[in-house]
Amino acid sequence: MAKILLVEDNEANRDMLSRRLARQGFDVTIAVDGGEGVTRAAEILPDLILMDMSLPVMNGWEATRAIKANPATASIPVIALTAHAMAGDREQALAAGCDDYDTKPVELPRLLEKIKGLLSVAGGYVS
Amino acid sequence: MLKPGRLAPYRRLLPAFLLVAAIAIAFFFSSRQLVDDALRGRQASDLSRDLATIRNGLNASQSADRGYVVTGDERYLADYPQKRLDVEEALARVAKLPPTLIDPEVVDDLKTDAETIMTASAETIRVRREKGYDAATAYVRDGKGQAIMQRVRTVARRIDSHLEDEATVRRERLNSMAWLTGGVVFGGSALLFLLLARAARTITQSESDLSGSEERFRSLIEATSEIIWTTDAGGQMEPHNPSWQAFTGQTPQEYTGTGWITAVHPDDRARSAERWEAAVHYNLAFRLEHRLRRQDGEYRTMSVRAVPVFDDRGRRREWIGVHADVTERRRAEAELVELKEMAEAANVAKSQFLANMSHELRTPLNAVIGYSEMLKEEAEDLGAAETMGPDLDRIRGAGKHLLALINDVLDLSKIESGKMELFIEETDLEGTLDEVIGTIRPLVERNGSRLETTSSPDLGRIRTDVTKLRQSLLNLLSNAAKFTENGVVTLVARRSRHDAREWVEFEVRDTGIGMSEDQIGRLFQAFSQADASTTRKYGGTGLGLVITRRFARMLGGDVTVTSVLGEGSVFHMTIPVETAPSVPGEAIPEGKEGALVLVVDDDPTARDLMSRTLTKEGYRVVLAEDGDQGLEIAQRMKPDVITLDVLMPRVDGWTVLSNLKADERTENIPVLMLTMGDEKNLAYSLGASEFLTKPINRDRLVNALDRVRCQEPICKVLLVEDDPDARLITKGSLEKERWNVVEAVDGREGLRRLSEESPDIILLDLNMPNMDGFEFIETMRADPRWQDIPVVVLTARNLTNDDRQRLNGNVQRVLSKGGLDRNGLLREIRKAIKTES
Repeated sequence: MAKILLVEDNEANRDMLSRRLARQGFDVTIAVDGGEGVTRAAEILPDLILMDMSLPVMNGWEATRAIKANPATASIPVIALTAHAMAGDREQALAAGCDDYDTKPVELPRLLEKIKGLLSVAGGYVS
Repeated sequence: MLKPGRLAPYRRLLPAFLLVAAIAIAFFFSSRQLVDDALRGRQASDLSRDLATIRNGLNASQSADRGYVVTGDERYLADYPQKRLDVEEALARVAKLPPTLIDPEVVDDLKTDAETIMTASAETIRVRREKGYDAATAYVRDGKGQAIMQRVRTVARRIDSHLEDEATVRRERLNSMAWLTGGVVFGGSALLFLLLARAARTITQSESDLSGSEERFRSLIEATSEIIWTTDAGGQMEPHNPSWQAFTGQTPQEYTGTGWITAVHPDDRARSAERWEAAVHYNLAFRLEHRLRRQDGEYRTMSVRAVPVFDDRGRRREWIGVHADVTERRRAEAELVELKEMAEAANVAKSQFLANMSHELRTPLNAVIGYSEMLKEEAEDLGAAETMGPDLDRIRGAGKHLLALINDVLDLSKIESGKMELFIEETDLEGTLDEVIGTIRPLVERNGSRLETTSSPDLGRIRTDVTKLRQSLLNLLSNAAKFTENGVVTLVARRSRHDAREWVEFEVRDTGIGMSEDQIGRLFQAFSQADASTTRKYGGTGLGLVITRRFARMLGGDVTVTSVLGEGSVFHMTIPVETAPSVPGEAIPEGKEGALVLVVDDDPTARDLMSRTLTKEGYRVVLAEDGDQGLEIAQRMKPDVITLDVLMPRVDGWTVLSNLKADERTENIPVLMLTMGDEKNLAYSLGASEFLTKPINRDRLVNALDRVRCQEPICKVLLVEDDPDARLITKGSLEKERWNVVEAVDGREGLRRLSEESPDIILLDLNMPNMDGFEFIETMRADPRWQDIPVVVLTARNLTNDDRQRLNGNVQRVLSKGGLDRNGLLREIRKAIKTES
């Protein structure tokens, strides 16, 4: 069972997405801000990280950079979740080290495609 | 030379002239006759006298010889020789007279007779003396002396009578001559009088004309609200300037000469005096705006114009000037600008609010959509999909629709607030199209329609903002799909080349409901969907097409539409194959299309680029490759706006600018100055050492100063800055760093301080009244004493309205060419043209 770390500050979004991912068979761990996200990533070494970009304490880009800067977590694929398709967010996310990105509101089938794509590349989980 | 027109009044006097001339000629000939007459008269009187002498002489000699014959007394003969001599002399004189006066034959006869008498007389005396009394008496009695003497008397009488006749003729002639002379004198006088009278009348007439026009001029001065004033040729105001007196309340003693300057606002005096001196010195039309104290003490903004007046010989005679009170106009203009800025600020605030609001709305909406989807999944798991599924779908659908609306509103407000950015990347157009087609096909087919696509094989790769292109195509296609039932939606994509550029053209055609002319007119306007009922029936925000056109234009292209009500619509979108990257721009105001832009630039590449960009935007463009050509074209074609390169060989942009502004034909054309670098580089090129933008950051200021810090313990800095607050703050910071600060309020004072204080460094504001920073640096660098003093330039990041006014309308904007983006340029051009129209 693939471990996914979901870093998201909005409670409704967090609850909804974690439950839907769990229904899909993922082991979902939650972090509520960027700082916690970095810590949890190092602790549990998830197979994939879903990172909201607008986060308190430490935003998504900074958190991603921190994760990618830590050799222990550097290889974990990160999917950036950004509000509305703000052109530029994608570039910024990729520049920060994110492996892919998706826009909110999440369209689950599309997000699942991306998750599965990255996990198969990483060679960890095959659904 | 008399002009023909000036001869006309004298033409009627021509007969009089001719008459007087004729009289004068007659007078001349008569005068000559008169001279002849005078001469002849004298000769005649001589003749008459000589004849008398002859007669008397002969009588006397006869008397003498008779007396001697009778008495024998010799004393009777005492006078005899003398008388004889007198007669001979008189005869000789008469013989010499002209034959016209006396017939020579008469003279000869007279002479013969006289000699006969004389001889007889001499013989009588000889006979008496030799033969005695009786012989003598007999000789006398026999002699023919008496008869001869009678003949002499007759001749003499005849001559005398003739002479008398001649004298009568001469008298009469003299008499008529006198009349003639009188006539000539009278006629001449009369003519002279006529001429004088006419001249007097002409003078009177012009005097009355003059006083009439003076009267009119005076009424004009009194009637007009403007001050009309005059000065002498040397620019000294004349004592009689009643409208000046009426407005300012200055007495003639106060304003005469240069005293008028004291009515000018103290801050405007130096500039006014300087400009006036220059105008008088160079014979230039004088134009200026300054504040003038009205007699009630209020300063009024006056627009001043004066011109030199020249006399017939081209010498300056005087100056005539007009002061027009433009206070209200300027106030209204300022208010308008302020209102416009407020409106713009309000618009930006509105867009900002919408953007934030949209974001806030979306978060809960995401939850609604997400939970509805999740609930549906759970309902399926629980086998309750049949009962709950349709309702959950409705919740999700409504949420999605609301989200789409919010996204559109957000897009539009971002465009309008200038926050929409372009991210240009290279992309495979065919791939993008496949993606779009894949998304849209289900939408089209849901309405029972068919999607047909044609794309030329050479689409290749393009550089553009793919997200916006994709969104635009989706908007056009979903629009077509929405309004077409059981019809055909066609997408055509192809490459084309026009206006010297490569383009991609997209055509979205449908067989749907179409639109009326009226609906098309409102199609691209925000918040005015073709028909309110459309919204209810078809949904949507009505913003999709507005956004699509804005996106297409941001990308350098456009969207147009043709449609027939009931038959369908064709949307045509073109975008360039290459879109230049841009910085986020402000909202682009709509410009006056078809306006003529003159591009003056020596660099062919820059010219080409400008030409393409502007032509694409619907401007007409004319190019000039140097300043002279630019001036010539500007005067001839009077473009709506001119873009002017600052750095050009031979004649630079600033010179061209001043020439443009000095020419009445071109002075009102807005000019955009383009510099290679920015103002900063311009300042550097003028010789500045450092450059700081306002508001001044204290640390940066200190760092800048440290780099040029002098060796001595206390260094002197000259601060040239017109804004008292900025001066105070900067001075404070400097003194804290132990600098000795010398202040100057403008460039001119700066120069004065420079020579007094010899500072170690100069802090210079660029925008100042009287003499600005540029001029200050130029002047200062021209002096070898000051060439090495470092200058740190301070300038506002943005020109304020105040700054703009200070530039006196000469430059609309100084644009930086280096960082100049297409949108920025177009915005400036549109603004400039708008300001004008």
